[in-house]
Amino acid sequence: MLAALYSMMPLIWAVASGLRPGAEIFRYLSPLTIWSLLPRHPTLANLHVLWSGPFARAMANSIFVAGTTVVVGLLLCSTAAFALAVLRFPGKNAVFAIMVVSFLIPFDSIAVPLSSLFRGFHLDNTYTGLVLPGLGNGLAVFLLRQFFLGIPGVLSEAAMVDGLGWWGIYTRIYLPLSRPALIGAGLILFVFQWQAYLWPLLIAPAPNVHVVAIAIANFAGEFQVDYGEMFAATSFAALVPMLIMLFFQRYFAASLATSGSKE
Amino acid sequence: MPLNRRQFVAGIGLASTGALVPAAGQAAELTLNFLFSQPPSTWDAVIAAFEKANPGIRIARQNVPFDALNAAVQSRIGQKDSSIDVFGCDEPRVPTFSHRGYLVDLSGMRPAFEKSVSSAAIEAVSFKGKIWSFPLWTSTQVLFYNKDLLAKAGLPEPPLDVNKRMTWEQVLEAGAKAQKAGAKWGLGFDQVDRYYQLQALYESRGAGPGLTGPDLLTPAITTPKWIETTEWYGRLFSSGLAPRGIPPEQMPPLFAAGQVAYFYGGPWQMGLFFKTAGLNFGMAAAPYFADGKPCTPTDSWSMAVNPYSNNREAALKFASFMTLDDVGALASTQKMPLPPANKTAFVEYLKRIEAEGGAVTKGYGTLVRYELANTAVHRPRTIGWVDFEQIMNKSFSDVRNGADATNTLKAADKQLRIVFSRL
Amino acid sequence: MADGGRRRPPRLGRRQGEWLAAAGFLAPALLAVVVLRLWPTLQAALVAFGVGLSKGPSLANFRFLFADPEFTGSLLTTALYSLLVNPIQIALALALAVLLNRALPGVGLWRTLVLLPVAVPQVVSAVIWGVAMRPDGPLNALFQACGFAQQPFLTSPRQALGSIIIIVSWIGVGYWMTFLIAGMKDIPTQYYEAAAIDGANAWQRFWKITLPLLRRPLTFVLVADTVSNFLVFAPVQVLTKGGPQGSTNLVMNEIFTRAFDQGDTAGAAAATTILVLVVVAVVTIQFRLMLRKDDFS
Repeated sequence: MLAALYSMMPLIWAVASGLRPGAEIFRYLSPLTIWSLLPRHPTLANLHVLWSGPFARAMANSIFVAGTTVVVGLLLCSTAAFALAVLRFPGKNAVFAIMVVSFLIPFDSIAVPLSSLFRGFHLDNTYTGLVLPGLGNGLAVFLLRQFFLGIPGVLSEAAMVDGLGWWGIYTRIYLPLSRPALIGAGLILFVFQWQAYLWPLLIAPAPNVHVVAIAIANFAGEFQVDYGEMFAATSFAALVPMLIMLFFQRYFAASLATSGSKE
Repeated sequence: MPLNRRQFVAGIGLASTGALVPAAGQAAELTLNFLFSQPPSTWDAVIAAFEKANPGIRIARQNVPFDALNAAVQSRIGQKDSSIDVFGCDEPRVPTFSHRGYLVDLSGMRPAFEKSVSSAAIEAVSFKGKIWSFPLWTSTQVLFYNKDLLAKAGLPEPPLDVNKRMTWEQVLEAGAKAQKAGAKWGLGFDQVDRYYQLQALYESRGAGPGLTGPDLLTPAITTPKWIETTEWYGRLFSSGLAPRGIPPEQMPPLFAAGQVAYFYGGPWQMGLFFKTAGLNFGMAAAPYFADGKPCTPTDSWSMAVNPYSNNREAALKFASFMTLDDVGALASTQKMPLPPANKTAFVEYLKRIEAEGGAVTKGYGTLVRYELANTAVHRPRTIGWVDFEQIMNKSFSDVRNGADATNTLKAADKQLRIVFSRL
Repeated sequence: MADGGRRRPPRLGRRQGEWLAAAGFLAPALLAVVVLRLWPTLQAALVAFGVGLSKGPSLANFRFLFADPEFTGSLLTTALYSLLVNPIQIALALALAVLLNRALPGVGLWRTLVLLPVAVPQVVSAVIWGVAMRPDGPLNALFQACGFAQQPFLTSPRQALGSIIIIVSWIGVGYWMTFLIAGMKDIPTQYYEAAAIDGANAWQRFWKITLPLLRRPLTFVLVADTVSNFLVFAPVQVLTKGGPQGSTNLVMNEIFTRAFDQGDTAGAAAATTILVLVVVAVVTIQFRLMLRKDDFS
């Protein structure tokens, strides 16, 4: 309860602030009264501005970019993890090391040279340019590989006897057994894109391809920040992932043990 | 199930291939990319006017948050990116940017500049005798006060008159009185911890900008006057007269919330203050030290042309339309709360502000003209500016949070020498 | 190779097929990782060593960095920060995972709520916490209401790093908890049933069953959390810019300042190289400590 409170309080305050007129936000910070948490003069003006402004577009962009990244990224990362966990081939350890090192690299500090490479291929201000860097995620590969290692090898040997190829083993045995790990890897891929700030700033500054983090930061103008609109936008930015996660909790709870594949 | 997934993935693939076509531009006309940090609607009028006057040229906007503009310029033009044509350039950055090769020499257009903008505005965008960008706006600072809080303490309202300025000594005394009478804070700085606003304090005392030498690359921030003024700044906060721990963007809302008696800030904050119900405020000329002279911060944004642009001619046309052309300058400043650099637009701006502000802004025009002509101090024009600003802002912030002035300035002095050695 | 396949065709054929299959399965991800991560890093390293300059390769950039107290200070700050934040986050995530792995009513909702902060862009969560921690902000108002002394939080060189740790943990704990819960779902319930019959209490069950069987997911969380904490900088950039008095100047903030404010590409590249080497070293040690031989298959 306390933990949930700790994670919720700042967000509740942000939601409440999103319903305040801009000038009221810092008025009731201290001393603590009921108005510190609830809007004294509730208004929907901020929400109205959001949906008539560029924020709606940014929201759609972010959902598309994150969604594409999760779907394509899961395919890329799970196939690689499958190869690293199940198949035998020379140089396996080297490839695994490459995957591990790749997620140790601070992406933000290589973003500048990478963005100029992307511009050379005219990927600036495109969805492709936004999605690509999120696809190959060493951390997701690592997570999935660890999970695949736990699936008994006898299963694939039996399947092979039944005439299933590697692709069949991957799609019919490993993927269905790995739902929790796939959700975890999907979360990694999703959060990478949802949190991305510097990369979209460099590669997609045109308003029609703005993502949510940029659109929210744009409420901070040079002379003043419209905190009311910023917090209203933040509430929405948190709402979408919340709904998605609530939906997936269902699958998450279905443990691997109950699927009967575990020794 | 696998088939479905494959179909889905293929669909996504198709969708993103469609997105491969750059968002900006059709082949038939020329598109200029314009990078800036203001709300995109700021430029609606000027872009419409320009596109109408120049059929065949289209302006594509690229906006980034205010804090991120310099990083975006640095990382993109620093990589010789040709996909920006015109970009917003903070005027004190002109020397650094021209030194790094991010700007185009505009000296050939000098007569056009002289016709349209003031000599102070030209100075703001010049370095080593050459002009590097198009001045768009300028700025000054005033002293706001909360009428209700002053009345509660029985304090007189300072007039909007450059000849009847308060001294800082008077402001501090009055602020303390207002605080005793119920104001939460006696004094607030709009751009707290930023060199932009604090330079005027040092200049007013005759302490200088903090840099000397022929190229302004020798730190001079450990002089007695610098230390003394820095200590004065630190005391504002340690005494409890002014608030600690509040970032610059949250200072104007603090005054708007009626918690600050005197507020040293940009006149553009009027917009927020007028909008705030129940706030009863007035404006006076910027204060000065009793033993010094009046000094005010100045300069603002300019429009620059990317030297790596493939459309230099059209880019020059657009940038000069926004600033030097009277019609264009009017259009690009009509919504902005900052004084334009263009002479004709400047007259219109003052008319507008005086009409909108009523009694509060009576005399504002005279004040702005006077300050820009007599008390404005430019920030030091040196290739070391970007490093200097960043290190000084950090030092001011440390002092506000209670660090010792002498030690902080000594550490900053050392840091500046290290960084300058690498230029 | 092809004619050697005649003697034992099925086995070798399968082997060869396995090699090809592996190539096919790996190629897309490997390509993405090499082109989008390793290649730019290699280029940064070349810039850092001055390869390609007329002066020839040298250690000049590294010498400059280690002579700069700002940089060495940021390394120390990062070390202190890492030593504090990682154990705190993992302990909290583990405790929450144990708590929320039970069949409580509405547990899915609770889990989602605890996970939610990671869905807020860090630029914004930093602003929210910055307001909460203002000296005149709601946290201090709460302290006052409870009779505690007012705290300076981000304005004090002694509390700023701690405040950053609180903010970063707020973002991260729910995220890492999620992976630990996934790991706990893998522990067969029979173990607990057997332990219950033996009369083991909750504490014993945690130490004897949960923790040992959670080794793999825990390793994952430890490594991933450590890495992500090395790379934190949005809250610092927004809230303190490394201050007061350098007390929150984490090395990523230092790299960002050099690259984007100072335009010192070579210095930033050298600092990035150092950071990557440090992280590789730390993670290698963690793997050695946490994993047994068979985890590498």
